Amino acid sequence: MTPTQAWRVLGIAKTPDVGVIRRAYADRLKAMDIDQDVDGYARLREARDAALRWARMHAKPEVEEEFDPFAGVAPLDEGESDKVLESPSESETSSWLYAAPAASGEADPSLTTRLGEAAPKLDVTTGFSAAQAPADQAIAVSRDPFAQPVLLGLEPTSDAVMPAWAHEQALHRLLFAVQRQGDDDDTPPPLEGWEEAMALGHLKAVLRHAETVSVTAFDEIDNWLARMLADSWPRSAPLLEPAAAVFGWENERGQVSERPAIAFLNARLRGLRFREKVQEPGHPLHKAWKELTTPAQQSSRKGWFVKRAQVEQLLAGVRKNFPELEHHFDPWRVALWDKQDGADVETGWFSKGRLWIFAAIFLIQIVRFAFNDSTPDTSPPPPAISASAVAEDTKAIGGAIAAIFGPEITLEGLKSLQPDLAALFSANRTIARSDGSDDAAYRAKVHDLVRERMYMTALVEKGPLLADVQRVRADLLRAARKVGAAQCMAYVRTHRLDRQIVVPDATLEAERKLALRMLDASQLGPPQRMAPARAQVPGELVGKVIALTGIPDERVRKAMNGKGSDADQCAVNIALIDATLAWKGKDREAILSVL
Amino acid sequence: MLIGIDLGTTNSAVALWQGSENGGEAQLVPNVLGSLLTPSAVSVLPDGSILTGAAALERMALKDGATATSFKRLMGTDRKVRLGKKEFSAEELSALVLMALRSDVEAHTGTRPTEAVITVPAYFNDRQRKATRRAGELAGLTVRRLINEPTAAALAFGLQDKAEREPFLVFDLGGGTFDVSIVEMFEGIVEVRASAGDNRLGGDDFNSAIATAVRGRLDPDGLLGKIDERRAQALLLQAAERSKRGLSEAQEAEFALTADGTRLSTTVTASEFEAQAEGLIRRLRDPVVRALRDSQIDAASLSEVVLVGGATRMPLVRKAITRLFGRFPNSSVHPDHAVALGAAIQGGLIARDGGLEEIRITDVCPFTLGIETAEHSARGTVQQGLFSPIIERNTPVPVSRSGLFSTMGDGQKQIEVKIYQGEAREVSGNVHLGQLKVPVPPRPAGEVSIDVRFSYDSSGLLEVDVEVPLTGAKHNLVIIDEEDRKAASDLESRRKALAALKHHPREEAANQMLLARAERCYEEFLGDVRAVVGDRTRQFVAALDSQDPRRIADAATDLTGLLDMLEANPPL
Repeated sequence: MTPTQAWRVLGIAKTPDVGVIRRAYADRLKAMDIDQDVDGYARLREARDAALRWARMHAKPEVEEEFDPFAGVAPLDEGESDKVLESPSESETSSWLYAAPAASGEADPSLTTRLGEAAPKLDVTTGFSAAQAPADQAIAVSRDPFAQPVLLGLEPTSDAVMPAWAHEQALHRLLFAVQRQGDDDDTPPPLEGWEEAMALGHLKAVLRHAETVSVTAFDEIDNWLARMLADSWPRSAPLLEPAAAVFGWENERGQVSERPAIAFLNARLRGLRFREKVQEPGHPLHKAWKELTTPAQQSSRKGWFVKRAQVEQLLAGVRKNFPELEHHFDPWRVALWDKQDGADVETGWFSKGRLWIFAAIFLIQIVRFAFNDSTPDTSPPPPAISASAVAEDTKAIGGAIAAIFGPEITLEGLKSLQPDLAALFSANRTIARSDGSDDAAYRAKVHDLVRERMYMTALVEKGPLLADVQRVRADLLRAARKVGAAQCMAYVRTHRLDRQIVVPDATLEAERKLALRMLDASQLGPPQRMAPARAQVPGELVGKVIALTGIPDERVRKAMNGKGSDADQCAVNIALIDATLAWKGKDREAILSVL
Repeated sequence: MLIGIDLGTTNSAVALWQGSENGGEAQLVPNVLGSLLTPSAVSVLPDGSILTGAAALERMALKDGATATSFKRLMGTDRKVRLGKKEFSAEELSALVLMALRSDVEAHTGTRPTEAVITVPAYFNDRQRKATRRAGELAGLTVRRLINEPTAAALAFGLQDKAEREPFLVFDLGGGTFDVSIVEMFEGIVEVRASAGDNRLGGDDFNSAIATAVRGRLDPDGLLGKIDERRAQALLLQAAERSKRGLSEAQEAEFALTADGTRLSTTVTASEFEAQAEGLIRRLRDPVVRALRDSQIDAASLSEVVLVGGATRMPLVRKAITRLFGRFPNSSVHPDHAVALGAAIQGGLIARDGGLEEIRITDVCPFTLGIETAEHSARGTVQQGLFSPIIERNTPVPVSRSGLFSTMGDGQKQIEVKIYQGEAREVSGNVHLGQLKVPVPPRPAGEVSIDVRFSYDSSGLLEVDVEVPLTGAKHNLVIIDEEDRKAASDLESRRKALAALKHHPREEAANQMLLARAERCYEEFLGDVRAVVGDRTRQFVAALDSQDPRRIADAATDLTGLLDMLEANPPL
């Protein structure tokens, strides 16, 4: 409703006098039967509200003073009045003021200064113009006495020394410290021990303060804190429970009027609670949780005493209700348990394929270990290792290293460059000896392990390294195809290169150089855990694959979904790697990292 | 005659508007015992007759007490309360209290009241309101209007000095419910800006808190565990109520009760009570914040915080309020009387009494009203049972709002419009008010829409109009819930059944109360003392039988003296 209409409905001339507006409204209201004329009542109210808004805007300045929240309000108790009297010195005020509102639209670092709760009322001209400066400057305040924690786990400072707004700022600084430094990492690290202790201390002070102030201020602190905790998630995780308890955030859950930040925090809170509960041994899904959170090693297998149904229930439940908890799981372990059939189209063939690969690797390990473990009594005692055996082993290991990395790398060198890989070489040698397998088998085996590490690292590192590794991989697949499509796909699925496959020297050489380069860059560590990824293959690439392979469209698509004959799948795989490597589209890297 | 009734959780009161010839003011009517408050308690005596008020409350902790209290908390539910051989619903028990109040007015004025304004907590939902209305009808009163308790209190407060008032807040903490309303008064208009509340918070909860705190040390031998749990609870809660009152005046109070001749006693300190009630105190804040948020009023700009409800007498609560608002509350209205007086004023307004300048009250609907909908989620599944608000909470009433909804299925032939009240995003958390089926022409999904209009009038009646723009068909539903539909037919028979119950003669209430008290003392004590009490009680009953007023009065004085002495100095 426009002001003009409003005055007409009220039947008065434009006036800033609130009394006149009210009187006009009251007269009109008394003259009507509101239950009979619902629309008329709505119009009248609207007109009144519009007129009052206009009047407030055009009110003379002295009217403002009537609404001064401090006028006539006696200080509550001595503590309160102390705070009001305790005005920070001029310089102090300005240094804090720089931090008031954040420029980036994130949560305000401090709230109380704006409310004028603890600090004296701000001089609008000096205070708020200064406050326009970006929040980052607050960090630069050199005299900040709280930048360095004094003692670990100690509550920062008592209220008397530190007013509420300082706690608010300190809290803000702790929660947003990392993003400020411009780290590339998207997810901020969790609060460190001392940071958490400090943050909890500051939070406690803020909450204590909130409990003593009036409801309006309480409400503001509530909103401010909710936004800040939501914005700084997951760093703010340890602070959530105490804050939610004081502000009763959970009462708001599922309500129409639930504030977005509260909705977000409530969902996280439930996740945290679930995690806490499931970590107790009594919880029905506890075993499943333990199973999925135990990091999987090369030799890991599914836990023996865990029921498949429970693991699936946990996985499905977590994915549906608390997706943020899935990062607690070990992806390798999840891969072990995740369903193997690719019935679910949504997940895509890429990730499914990879999960299947993991599963296959571990299956092999399980078979062997299961055999070894279950027959300790009947198997002959392990032969004592003689000096000659040691020498023989060293030779075999050295040979394998030379074949994989080139003659310049020795076992000692490998030990210093990548000790865990060296240990892996030794361990496999021991296994090979007890198996009675020959040197060639041993060499193939460790070569597979190195290839796998190269591949996994490349998936994580991305960039040119990924392209290089995929190029070599395409050549390996080509070599495998010469023996047979089955061998080619076996390599894709298991990362095991069949020993019949003859890899061309050129490929071996390229691979050796790459391996050496990665070893020098310490890029051959244990495979990092990573969540299954997926990518969309654009039509353009599909077209190229069709052209390269000569396989019809439908079969190509089928092969991309992990179906169809091994021959098709192998050919499509190779062609897709080639085509993607030659392609410059924006998803190139994403596609390469799921192949 | 039109009366105003405050039907409370713990106490009820009735008031009359005295016309201009009698000074033009609202006045409370005393009950037969001379008290302005009547406990909301109903008891069934072994002979099947009904006792209400203080005498009923006195019987609460007896072995065969058969007494119901705090039944207001059950309003709008199907729960039945068993008293002796009979079962009662909350609305029937309320009706019995209303009947007692009605006879008090009749005895006081000589005229039988036929109409009433009854107050309900602002945060009562539609079902609870309807149950209250039915209780009135069952008691033989035409309920002219249900008015929100804080609104009634605001009316009483506002008429004290008839001054203009910037928005003020009514903080109404009763025996079982908590309401907050923000009200503004100007030029004879009483405008409620927002209401919020907690239906499950009141003085009773503070009693339970005290009882929980002391039970362990009060009764280390588990004596109370040996007696009937209902009776043990009644004894504990009554003792807690006494301690709570004591703590309003001192820093510590005795918590004492006598069960089967054993006197158990301990001391409760104010700080202990405070610690135990911390959770309850915290719950006071939420509705206050909501009301302020909804009305967009800063706590600092409230002109007053007006206290209503007996539980606001607790220093603990006052302290919390002072902290919440940064100021001392206004206690100028009587916390127990204001609501009933306001109801009587409203009655006077309805009767258009000349003694009242015209006053208009505009209220809000404190709950969100809407319908159930479904929507396609991002994952392509259909999420059902969602609540789509049409009238947001704290909208001024009367109000008429509409929303447009469309079909979700291809060839859908009808749309079921289910109406809900509440704040939850999923309808399962809200109160179902009614539903209607609207036939629509079969078309592809989303092509047929319906316009759902909600009209909510100032007495709380919701009307739903559904229009199908495609066909021009109109459908209408006035929300009457199941209970109401059923009630319409058998209300009359239920009323007759209630009236047919043997009510204890009103004039005997004082004697009944004394008898109940004697009976309680008899159960509390053992041995010689018990024998003396029994002896005197028999004398009193004999006097009652003789119907000789003088003999009755003498025996009553005797018995009262003995009981007073025993209760003041319990023999150990």
